Amino acid sequence: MSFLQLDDIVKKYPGAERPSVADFTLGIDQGEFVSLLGPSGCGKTTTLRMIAGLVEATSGRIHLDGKELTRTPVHQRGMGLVFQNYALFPHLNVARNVAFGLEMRRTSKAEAKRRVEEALDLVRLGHLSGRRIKQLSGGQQQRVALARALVIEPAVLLLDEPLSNLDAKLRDTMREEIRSIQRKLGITTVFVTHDQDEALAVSDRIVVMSEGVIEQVGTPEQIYEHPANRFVANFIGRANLFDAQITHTAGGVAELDVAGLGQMRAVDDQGAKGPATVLVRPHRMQVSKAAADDAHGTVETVVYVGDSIEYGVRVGDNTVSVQSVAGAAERLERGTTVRLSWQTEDALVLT
Amino acid sequence: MSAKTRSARLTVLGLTVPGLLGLAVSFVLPLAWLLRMSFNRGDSTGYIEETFTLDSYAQFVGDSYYWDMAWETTLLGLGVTVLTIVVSYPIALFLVRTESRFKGILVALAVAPLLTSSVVRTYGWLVLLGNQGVVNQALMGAGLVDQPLALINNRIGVYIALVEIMMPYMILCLLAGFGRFNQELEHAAQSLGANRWRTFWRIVWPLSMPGVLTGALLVFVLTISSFVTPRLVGGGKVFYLATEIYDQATATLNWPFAAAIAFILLALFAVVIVIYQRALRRIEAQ
Repeated sequence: MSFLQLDDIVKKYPGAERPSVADFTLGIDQGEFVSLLGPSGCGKTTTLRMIAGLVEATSGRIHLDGKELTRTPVHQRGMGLVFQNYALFPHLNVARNVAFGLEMRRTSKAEAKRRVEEALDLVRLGHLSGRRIKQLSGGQQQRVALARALVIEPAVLLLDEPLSNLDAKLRDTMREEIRSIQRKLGITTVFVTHDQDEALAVSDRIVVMSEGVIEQVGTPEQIYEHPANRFVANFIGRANLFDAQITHTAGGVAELDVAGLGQMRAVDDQGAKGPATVLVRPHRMQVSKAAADDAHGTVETVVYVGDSIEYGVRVGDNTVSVQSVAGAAERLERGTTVRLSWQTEDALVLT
Repeated sequence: MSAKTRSARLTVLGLTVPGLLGLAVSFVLPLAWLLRMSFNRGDSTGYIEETFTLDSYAQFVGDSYYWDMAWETTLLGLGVTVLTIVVSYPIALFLVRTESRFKGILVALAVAPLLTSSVVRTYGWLVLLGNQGVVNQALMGAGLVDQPLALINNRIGVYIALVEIMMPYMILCLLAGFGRFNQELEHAAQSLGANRWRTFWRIVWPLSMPGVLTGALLVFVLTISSFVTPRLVGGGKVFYLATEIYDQATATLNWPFAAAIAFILLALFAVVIVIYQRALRRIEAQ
């Protein structure tokens, strides 16, 4: 059993047609940073709230360090929570917000003072301890919320979309900071986000969810390079998905008849047969000029984004995205007829 | 002064003058007239001597009967205010927290009694609380009491009726005052180890203070100046400053004395408003 173990967790709200979370089973190791990733309404926040105890699971069990806490009330779980809107107490100043959890634990005044200072230094806000909450910027409020959750030395740190209210630049710095603090303290962390870049950047493992079910669990590399299905492939990064017919499989490589492209090859871990989907990331696609009678399609859009050029190539009814490094190849104009290709190891057969 | 600021000033003046005039004619002038009246000498024949004396005030201050009455009035104000907070707070908290799609209707229901005049509601309480009323009939039917309880023509009835009449005002103030509250704050407190009780006293209650204070001020002022309910439910047997003013003005015809009591009541308001302002400033300084 893992440090934080969730078994067959189900949450079904009364009157709801389908459960918000269904048969959620996941083990999280001590010190691990796990992201729950999915579009809104996928059940990721509900799952986090069940771990926190704010939402009661309809069925299933939660164990922490071998002890069951499925029915333990929130205030006895000892988990550190950071909310999307920070939920700082507006009537208390920064230091008293951070001290709140220690006061509830009846920590001695001297020790509480020391630990509050430590926590504020950790998030680099030591100089603002006397400030009122409404005098702080969004990023500073975020840090106070983090310090408040960390000061109680929680068994698990739960972060509910903590970065979504920050502007893009701050979001990147904060996520690095959260990750480095997490590493420093070695604290087990569950991070809820709908932002795949965020999840890829910070996680040891990612749990991709959709409509209340786990689609895939894996390291960022596994999720990105070997998505388990179309949903994951589409949700993580940009993806070209081709309908294809497998004609022959040997040694982990499938020969395919791809609609609009003809005979191609792709990696096939599962030895699938018949109809399949092939995933190729845009930056792994190659595009070259071709005579009209030999072409797969026509360049429809050209977007120059500095370090790369993004082409939209019309193939039959579909548009294929191709990202090529700017300057590395001849720039294609709109209307050019082209052939598309890829290296066998850059294409993956999905089931 | 530039033309622009002058025209801005004229605009401000133009917009405020009608309101100020209205206030002056309907409020300040009568009040000044009343103040003047309180310095005249009156007697129980209704004769008013134009003079300048503090006799009426001296009569009030020198008689422990009126001191008791002022004390009872203050006590009524405080008691009704506290009781109204106690019974309104859970309702307001429920209305703030509920995610029911009937929330709007529930709020409307909570303040719907305002649609009925307090005179009518006072008569309602007379019916409910009387010896033959629903309350006493139920208590006797259940065998809890042998004799009907005296719930009207005394202070108990006045308290009960006033608390109910004041509840919609209090609920409205509490709802407005809950602005900074959201349920995530309770969740945060709980995740930090606070049980329900401590979450309430450390988070919910302090955050609701602006609403509580405003509601308390409003209810206190409305209560000590209320006349109909103490008069009707009290059955002429309990006396407060407001009922005394009426009696002095209409029965005893001692207008100067009635005016003096009115100003003493006004002084009580002033004290309460100062206390309110101080308390509010302390909360906002947090």
